[in-house]
Amino acid sequence: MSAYDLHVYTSHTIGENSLEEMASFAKRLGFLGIGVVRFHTDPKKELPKTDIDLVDVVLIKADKNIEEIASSIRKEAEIIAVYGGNYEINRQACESKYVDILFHPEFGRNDSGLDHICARAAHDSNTAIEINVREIIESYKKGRTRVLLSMKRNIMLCKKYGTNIITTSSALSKWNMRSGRELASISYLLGLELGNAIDTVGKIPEEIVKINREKLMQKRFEGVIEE
Amino acid sequence: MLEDSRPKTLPPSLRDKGRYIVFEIISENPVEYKDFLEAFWNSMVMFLGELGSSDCQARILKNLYDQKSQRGVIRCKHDMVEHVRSSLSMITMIGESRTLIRINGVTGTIKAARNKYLAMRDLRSFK
Repeated sequence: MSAYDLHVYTSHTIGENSLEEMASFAKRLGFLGIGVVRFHTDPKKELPKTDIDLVDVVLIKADKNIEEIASSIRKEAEIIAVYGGNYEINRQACESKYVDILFHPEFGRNDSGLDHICARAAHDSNTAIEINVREIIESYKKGRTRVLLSMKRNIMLCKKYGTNIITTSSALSKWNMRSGRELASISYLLGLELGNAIDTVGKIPEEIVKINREKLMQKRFEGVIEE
Repeated sequence: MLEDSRPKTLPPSLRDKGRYIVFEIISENPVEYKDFLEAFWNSMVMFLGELGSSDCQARILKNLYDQKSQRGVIRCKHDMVEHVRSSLSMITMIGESRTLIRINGVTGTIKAARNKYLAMRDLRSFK
């Protein structure tokens, strides 16, 4: 099974392990590639060549102007993700054609952070919604039930409007990583069908990476690339 | 005095269909069987609850746990494999070492689990 984990931190940002350690551990877990996250304020660094595919994921963590920031970095980023949690930010990310992934829309909230308008907008603008497994693993008792409920609700909305979902480990250290099939099993328990759950770690992230790389190499012109 | 007798073994059509999950423990330090057992049941009950855990009918096969290679086999009901799999992925610490559990595969018989994943091949089939 080919799997991508598009939300991994290294010691260059807030992670614990180096890029090489994360890459070798991901290879041991059977991943085809990982998305190495950097913040949009950090300068771009060339990723070294390793045994697995390394994807440059730029994370926008801002209170406003998501569209503006995303359009300014679109030409240099392989994947643009937005740090969710605030409803206004979630909605801007869902409506933006420059944003590829909305990370943890339910983070730090009592509700799921998405509604039917966001889910439909995310479908129209091809923005994927993330299921963040570290949020489940690190939460406890009542908090965990709240997180699971929010994720179930988001999955229900995404299924209804055909929005893409991706499942990630959001690993801060190599010990937070889980293999692709384990990530898929959590999405399955949250309400996806098994085949679709496996696609959230395989086909969908692979397709996002492939399309964005083609756009950056100017092999694909439809969609969001500016004139 | 009445003799204590056991109920008869159910016919195959009435027995629960089982699956055997072959797992591997990846951790900072080697993990002992009893520590894994405790972590496994804590994780099951915490994630699935008591009712959900009992539905899984999960049990760890003690004689197949290999301390050296840190591999073992869990038996569960055939339709609850994903539940057990996700409960295993919730384990982060065993004892004082950081841990993750990786599933190597799922089989329908113990024999297949031994042959395919635990490298315990029967010499009689060796050619």
